[in-house]
Amino acid sequence: MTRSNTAAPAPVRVAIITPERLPDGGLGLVPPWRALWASRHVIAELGRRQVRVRHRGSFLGVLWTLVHPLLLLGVYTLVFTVLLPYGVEPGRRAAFVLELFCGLVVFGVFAETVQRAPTAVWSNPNFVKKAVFPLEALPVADLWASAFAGAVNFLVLMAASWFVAGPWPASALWLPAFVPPLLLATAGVAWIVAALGVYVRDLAVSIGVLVTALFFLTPIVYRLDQVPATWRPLLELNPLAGLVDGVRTVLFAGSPPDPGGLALAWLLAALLAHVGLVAFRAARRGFADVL
Amino acid sequence: MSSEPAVLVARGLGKCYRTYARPVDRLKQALFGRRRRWFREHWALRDIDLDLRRGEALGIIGRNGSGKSTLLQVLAGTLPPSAGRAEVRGRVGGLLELGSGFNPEFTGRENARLQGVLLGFEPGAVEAKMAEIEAFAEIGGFVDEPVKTYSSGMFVRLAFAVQAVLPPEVLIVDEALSVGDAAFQIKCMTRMRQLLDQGMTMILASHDMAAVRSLCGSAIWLDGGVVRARGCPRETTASYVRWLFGADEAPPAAPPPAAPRAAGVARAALPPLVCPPGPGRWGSGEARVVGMRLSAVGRPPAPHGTIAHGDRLRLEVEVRAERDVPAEPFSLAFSLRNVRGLDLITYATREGGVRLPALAAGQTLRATFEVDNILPAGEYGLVLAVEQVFGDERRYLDFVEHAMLVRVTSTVRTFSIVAPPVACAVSAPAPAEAVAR
Repeated sequence: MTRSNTAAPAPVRVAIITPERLPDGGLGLVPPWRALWASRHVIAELGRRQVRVRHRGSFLGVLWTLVHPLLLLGVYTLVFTVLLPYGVEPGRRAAFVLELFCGLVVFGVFAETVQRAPTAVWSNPNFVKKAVFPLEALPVADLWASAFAGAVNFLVLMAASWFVAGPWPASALWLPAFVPPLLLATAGVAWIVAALGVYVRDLAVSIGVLVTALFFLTPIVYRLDQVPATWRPLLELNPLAGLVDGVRTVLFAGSPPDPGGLALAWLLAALLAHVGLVAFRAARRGFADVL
Repeated sequence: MSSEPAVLVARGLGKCYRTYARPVDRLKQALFGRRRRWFREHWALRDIDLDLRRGEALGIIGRNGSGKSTLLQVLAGTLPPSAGRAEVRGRVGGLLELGSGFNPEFTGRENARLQGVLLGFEPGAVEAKMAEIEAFAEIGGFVDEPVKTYSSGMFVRLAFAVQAVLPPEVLIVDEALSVGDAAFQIKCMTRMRQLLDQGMTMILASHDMAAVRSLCGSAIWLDGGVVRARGCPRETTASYVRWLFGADEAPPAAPPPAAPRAAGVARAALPPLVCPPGPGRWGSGEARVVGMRLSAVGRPPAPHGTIAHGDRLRLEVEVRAERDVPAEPFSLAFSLRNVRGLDLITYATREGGVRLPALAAGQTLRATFEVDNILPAGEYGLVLAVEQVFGDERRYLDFVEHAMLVRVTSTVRTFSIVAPPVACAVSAPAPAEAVAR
């Protein structure tokens, strides 16, 4: 009988420590995800803290999450309707700003997470060396905070869209279908970047350039249908391109998403996440030796 | 319960560090490691077997760099071993170094909450215990400050409080207990014992022999990454301490003997003090200790350095001046220090009101000290110092940190760090009085 002197002891965990495997399970198909699920409370704790900390000490605090996108939206409106109205047909200016903002919100969840990823593990040597810590949770905690900001941004976008273009089309009900692929793909890339960042310090500096390059390879400041047909298949290899385009389609064009494309996005994102998680765990064994 | 289940089993654990010339070589090794080697090997730990049952406590002792911390990190799961296998059943908590897995940027409360969920407790359960953690840590309003602003004492208080209030099933502790003030240490010790009684299993690596002896049921002594001795903590720590002091004395690098000039009456020479300058001996060298003898007054000669508790201890020290030393701030001091580094008996001629004569270069001086041996059984280090005292400042001509290891034997068990003779008178039974019931 186990005598317990505190509330809610977890079921007995058995850690098997060998040169080949991590104490919380092997690689394979299921164990990495089971270990990630086991660390859900850690992710939640770290994620909530990230949200708090990003605005700690400022007057508006967490309100910044709301004020920031509103200000940005104001700036874009000013730039593209007053200062730089060329290239956009006069009747589409408001719509253009909304589409731009939509792309920025979706891309922002990815970009913010991935930009923090190279240092996510590297800047926490205590968690690597001196604690029994599910390191996979670190990039995911950044994703949590970025996704929270993204969600608030998206609410602002929805409100602005209602204000400018009237009630949302019925196809907007498809929006939740885009969330899992976005989160999974982002997590997958973040894990890979975080693991690499431990070994290759240069990544922390160069990631900004890479993300900026990806920014222009994603239809944010332009629409997918504006790209010459010969180059379009190349852009479609970028899973973010499909996601941004899909979100715009269901929210602004009012047509349902391409089911094949959406299914492919789910599949690719799941694959990316799995590969990323397994790669991270494989690389994790060497972290303590490097840091 | 007839037999408690094994909580921790390790077989042939080893850790080999690979040193790489460049960080990129590491990645190459990880990716294409089957064919080529980009590293050099260093075994920090080798062939470690351990068996621990529920509620047992194991002490690990050894010098810095002997592999203690590496072993703990491997068992905690933070460092993959290079060989062997270990199985640990239950929630593992680690106090590895100061504050272990704390993030310096997080506040105390955030760190505590994180440690709680890391140990596998539900967030609600951790929140419910938060007040208790705060109360145990006694760091007041600092719980809401980032822990990077903490003193090392506060750090350890909080780290320990989390483990004390949300106890793991297996606790791995590296040295953390020796920080904090005495009251907190006592509280920690009490709590540790309580948790051990409740079935927690513990591995404690420490330089504090007293902690290992009082908390642990067995001990291993690591040296150069391998187990040098294992068994009952009292014996293991004793042989370790003996070896430690012996090793410090061992290298007999004879100091260049200046031509001895006869000074004063001829005396029977004291056993020479062999201790080369180094980390254990320093000073300006204007005068130095050349010989010393420890004996018990009125007792037949015993092996040098061994003395019974309660005997009158006599210490003779011979000092030779290499240059002229004036009488005025000149002083000679000794101290008997326990394994925790506490000076238990100290004396300096200057504070004692004894004036030393001036010495000309080459002259020697012999001082004899006598004191009742109030030390309980155990090992003590003898510290000798030839010094000059200027107000509060001391300048050392010769400071010998480990002049010798003193073994005190005793027939009685003592639980205090000193045991001076105590007089006690007991009255005859007083006539019975009516007792109110």
